[in-house]
Amino acid sequence: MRCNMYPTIFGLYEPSSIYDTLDFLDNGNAKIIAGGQSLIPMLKLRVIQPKFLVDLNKLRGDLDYIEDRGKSIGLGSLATHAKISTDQIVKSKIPLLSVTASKVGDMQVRNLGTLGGSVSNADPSADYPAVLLAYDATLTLISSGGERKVKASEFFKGPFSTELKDNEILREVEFPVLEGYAYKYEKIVRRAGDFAMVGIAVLAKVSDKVEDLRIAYTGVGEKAYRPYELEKELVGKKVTRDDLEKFAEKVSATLTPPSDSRGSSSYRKKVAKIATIKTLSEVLGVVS
Amino acid sequence: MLVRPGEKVKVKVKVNGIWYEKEVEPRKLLVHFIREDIGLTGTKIGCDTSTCGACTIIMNGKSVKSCTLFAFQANGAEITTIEGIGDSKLHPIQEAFKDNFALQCGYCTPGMIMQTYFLLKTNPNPTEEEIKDGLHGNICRCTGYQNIIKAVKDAAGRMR
Amino acid sequence: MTVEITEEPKGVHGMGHKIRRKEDIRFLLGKGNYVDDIKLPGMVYLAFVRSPYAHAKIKSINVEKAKTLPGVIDIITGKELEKVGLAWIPTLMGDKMMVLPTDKVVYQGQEVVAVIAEDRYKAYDAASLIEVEYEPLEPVTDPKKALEQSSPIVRPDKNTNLVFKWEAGNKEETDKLFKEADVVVSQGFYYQRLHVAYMEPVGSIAHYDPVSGKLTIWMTSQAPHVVRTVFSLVTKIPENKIRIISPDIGGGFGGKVYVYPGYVVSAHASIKLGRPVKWIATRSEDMRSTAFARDYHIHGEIAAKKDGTILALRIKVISDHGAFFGDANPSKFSAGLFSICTGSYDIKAAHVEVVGAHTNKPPGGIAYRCSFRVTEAAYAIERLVDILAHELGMDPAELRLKNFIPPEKFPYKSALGWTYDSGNYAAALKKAMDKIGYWELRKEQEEKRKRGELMGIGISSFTEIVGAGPADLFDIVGIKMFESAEIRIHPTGKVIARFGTRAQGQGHETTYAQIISEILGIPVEDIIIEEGDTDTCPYGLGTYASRSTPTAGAAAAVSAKKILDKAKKIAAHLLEAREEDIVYEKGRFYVKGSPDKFKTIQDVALAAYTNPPPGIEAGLEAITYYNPPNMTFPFGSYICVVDIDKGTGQIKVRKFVAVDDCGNIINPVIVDGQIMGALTMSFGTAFLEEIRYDENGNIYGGSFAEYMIPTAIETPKWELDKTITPSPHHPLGAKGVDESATVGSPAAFVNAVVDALWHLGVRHIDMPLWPWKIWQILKEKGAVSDE
Repeated sequence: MRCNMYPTIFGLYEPSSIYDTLDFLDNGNAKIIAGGQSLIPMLKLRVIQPKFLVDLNKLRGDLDYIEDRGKSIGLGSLATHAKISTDQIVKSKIPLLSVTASKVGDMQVRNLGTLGGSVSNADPSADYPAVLLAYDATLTLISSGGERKVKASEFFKGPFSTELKDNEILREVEFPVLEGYAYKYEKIVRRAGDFAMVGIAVLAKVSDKVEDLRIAYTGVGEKAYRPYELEKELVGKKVTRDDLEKFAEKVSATLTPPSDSRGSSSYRKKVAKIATIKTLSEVLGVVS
Repeated sequence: MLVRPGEKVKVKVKVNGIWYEKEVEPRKLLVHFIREDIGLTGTKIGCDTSTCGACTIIMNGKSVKSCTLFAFQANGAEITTIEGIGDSKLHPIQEAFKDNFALQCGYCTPGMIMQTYFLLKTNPNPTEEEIKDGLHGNICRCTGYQNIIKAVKDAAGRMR
Repeated sequence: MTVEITEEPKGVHGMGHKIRRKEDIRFLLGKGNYVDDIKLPGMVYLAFVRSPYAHAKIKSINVEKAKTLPGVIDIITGKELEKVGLAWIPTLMGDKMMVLPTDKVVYQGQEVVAVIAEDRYKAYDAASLIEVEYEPLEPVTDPKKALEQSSPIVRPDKNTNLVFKWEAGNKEETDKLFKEADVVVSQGFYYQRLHVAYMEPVGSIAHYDPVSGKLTIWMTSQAPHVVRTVFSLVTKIPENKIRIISPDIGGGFGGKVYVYPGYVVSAHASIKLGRPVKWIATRSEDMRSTAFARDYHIHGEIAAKKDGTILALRIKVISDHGAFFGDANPSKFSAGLFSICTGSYDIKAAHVEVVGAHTNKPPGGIAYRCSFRVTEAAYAIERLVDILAHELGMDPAELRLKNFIPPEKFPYKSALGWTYDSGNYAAALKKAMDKIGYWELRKEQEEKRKRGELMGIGISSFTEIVGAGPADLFDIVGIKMFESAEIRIHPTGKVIARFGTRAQGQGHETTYAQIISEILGIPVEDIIIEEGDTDTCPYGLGTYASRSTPTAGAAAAVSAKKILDKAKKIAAHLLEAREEDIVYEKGRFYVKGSPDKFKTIQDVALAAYTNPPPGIEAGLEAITYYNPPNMTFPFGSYICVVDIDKGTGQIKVRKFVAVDDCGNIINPVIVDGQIMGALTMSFGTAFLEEIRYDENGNIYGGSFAEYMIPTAIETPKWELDKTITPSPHHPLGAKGVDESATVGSPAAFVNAVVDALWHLGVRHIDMPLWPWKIWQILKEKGAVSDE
């Protein structure tokens, strides 16, 4: 019966540098704790029982940053949702991330929870993965063996499963600055604070026609999903209501949401379809 | 620093203006540390899934759910609990909750007040929608929220 | 922003004053004293191993690994409890329940083994080391199947799953009217399983003092006195050596009337170990093992004339009670007060039958902020009346107005035997209709329907029955359902008053003080109210079923009047006049014609101790055990307006007007608070909440992350109003209000949603009205839109 709230005994490692951390992870059987908002509930339920926790919070100096690099913005994995949602650089340069961060969990959770924690946890209904896909963000993973960069499209593997190896940590997510893009994150929930039944992240560049479109979904499959091929159908067009309906219908047909307490699979596909039309109408300025 | 499984870790925190130093298991949740090691029982435990917000406190100026935080994570932090906001008389938020009948059984009240404290610090003049958004991580089963929302608006006025 | 409430609890504030709550200061400061806040020297902690199966034989329990874990003090099994006669205990409904099982488990989450350790973490560590070997048995989770011959039997001590069969009314007369009727409407309703989900999980601290032999238990109980008696009878500990203290209670709503295994095992452990033992359920344990509410499978039929005159009502129910019959109904009422199901209508004949079944689910059938199955009853009749109106093509408001019991018929004897004390149902409904603009809304609905938009208006005109109750009918385990109030006035005029009830958020410390202040003219700040300690408070049945104001409130009024009678004698002595010449007005006594020369109640109090009249004993106090002559019958009319999104099935409650009549009002703001809270709980019932099990008896969810309690975001704005029809038999004319909105509103929500969909051929949808359910229906009816 998983109705506990008392974690099993574990040890604690407080590293003095990232390299310490990586060396320690090489020993195995350790979990990284950042804000703890995904990890602690699992520890309380005893779903996971690691021998050690590695507390990254001492490394805030190294990992909690938002860096404007001109054409891109780098966010350290320890940046909290609260910080991301209020930071001026994020607001002006990668606003889709900012609005999404303001919809994660509730205010208390946002004050502690981190970008890296949420992204590494890869909950199939979490908010960020869709945004990372829409931006085509780049993730930097480090281990004692060195550093590697992975595209968001390759990072997410499945439910709670990512490209991250046990001895790696997520150091940074880098987002390209997309000038002149309209954006929206639409999140449909059963009740405030719940994970998304359907979440849609949209970035679009629109002139008299659609110059570029990036649309990604969460909550409707084993991992966040971006219909790259279908997106192209709307690019280069002056999109009509009819186009949107056809697009939404096609996208919806490719989604594979589970039937669970957040609704049946067919219902969630339908909600995704309607939300797609609504969100794209707004972002693309399509009059119905 | 390495603490082996079964060993304790030293945690030093400033709670309501007073420094405390205790040796605790790394797995001890901050809410238990506050309630049992320090003895401040105003902070409540209402659930085990980080849903209800009864355990909300202020840590380093931010509202957090102390049931989803280990005591060791608070090492070096400054914490304010429901016992620490009033300064020997009722804080304007507490006054407003009282005057607007914003509590019944009282169990969600400390968390609700601490979350309001944070909300009004970051947004001194919230709209009704912003109040609801700010408080949705705190569940109340008695009042139906209407009087709580009134109290938050009232408190905002008193604090301006 | 102006604050409407202006009165501090200072001065003489009786009935009708909006004074702030006296109890609030301690809660606001974090100084409330709930069970888990209490820490005693040498205290140890109890945790349970719980069953992963709904139905299984226990083949073996191996505690060896757990025993050797440092910090583990004791491990208690059902076999051990059996030796001291505590493996089973009686329930409040005359059934019995397992404390810890000896042979088999009967629901998932059931307590199997108890561990006592130095701290909570260790207790749970040890619990995880205990190896229980189970042999799964076939479970039964559907109460209808449970009643079939072929069903597995839930209980080891019974050879049937039938809990009871209960009926009321005149079957023959009812059947006859059904035959004669022009129209008969019938409908099945499933009132889903719910959890009250109070904010404070259940728990206890038992402290046995081996020297004095006294057992003190701090307990999350709404009814500490009855628990003391039951504990004494079960344990054979003399009742004066058991003290139950219900300190501050973080919400109860009916869920904390039940006696939980944790209370009993902590008491046993404390006696055995000679140390205080604390047991606090985690939220998820609480959701999975404590008493549930509802789970009523209702089949209702209503017979009427073509013109809409209702003739008769016939209802059959199968109720699911889980493994143990654990309702907290008065003992003569297996189905509680479900026979209030004729509601607000003048119905000639009715017949009701309720059959209770055991299933492999947690026990209960407790209320959910309602008086013993009154919610189920109000839901059934208000849904049926609405369906009847739609079938006949009549407006639901007009059909109700046509059939209401008219005001001149009160006291009114209902077809199922209740004597309604007072009511003016049409006044409440008309007020609600005016306030919401009913006929304009109907027009708007018609226009919207033409455009294909879905909008619905739902009415519920409920009648409750609360304030149990008259001693000839009502008892709990044989103890008559009176209620007590003891008032003591000290020589300096300060008052302490003690009650057998126990508030869990209702604000008794304020309202009881207002009642005493009203009668004795003593300022409310001079009155301290105490409840919940069986050593100091007079015996009472507790707080549930909206009974505190009707019973304990009345007891307070009677005690205050007894004191006033004596005070008049003392005043006469002080004023050197004859008693019959003394005039009393709001705390002052004077001789007829000389109002300027007066003695205050405080003067009298001092004299009661320093200068009592000859022949009159000293002191100024009174105690009353009030036996109500009848129940009270609060009522009201609620109107709900919903808009439904044809694309996603999402429902928006656009407007909700609640007109309540709870008789005379003691504190209007407290009353409104109770109504808004109860409306919000029922909004959860209608749209979000359900405890579900799969066919193997595995719970879905079972935590606060999955049980969808409304937050501030979903909760609609409630608009409240009142009519006032005093109870003729209550000393203050009050009726009780805590649960009116839980009782009245579910039908209003569902009626509104069905009203929006009726033209599509929808007659009924069971709660919770999740959007995907609505969407599925729209899809079936070919009415889904892509917008």
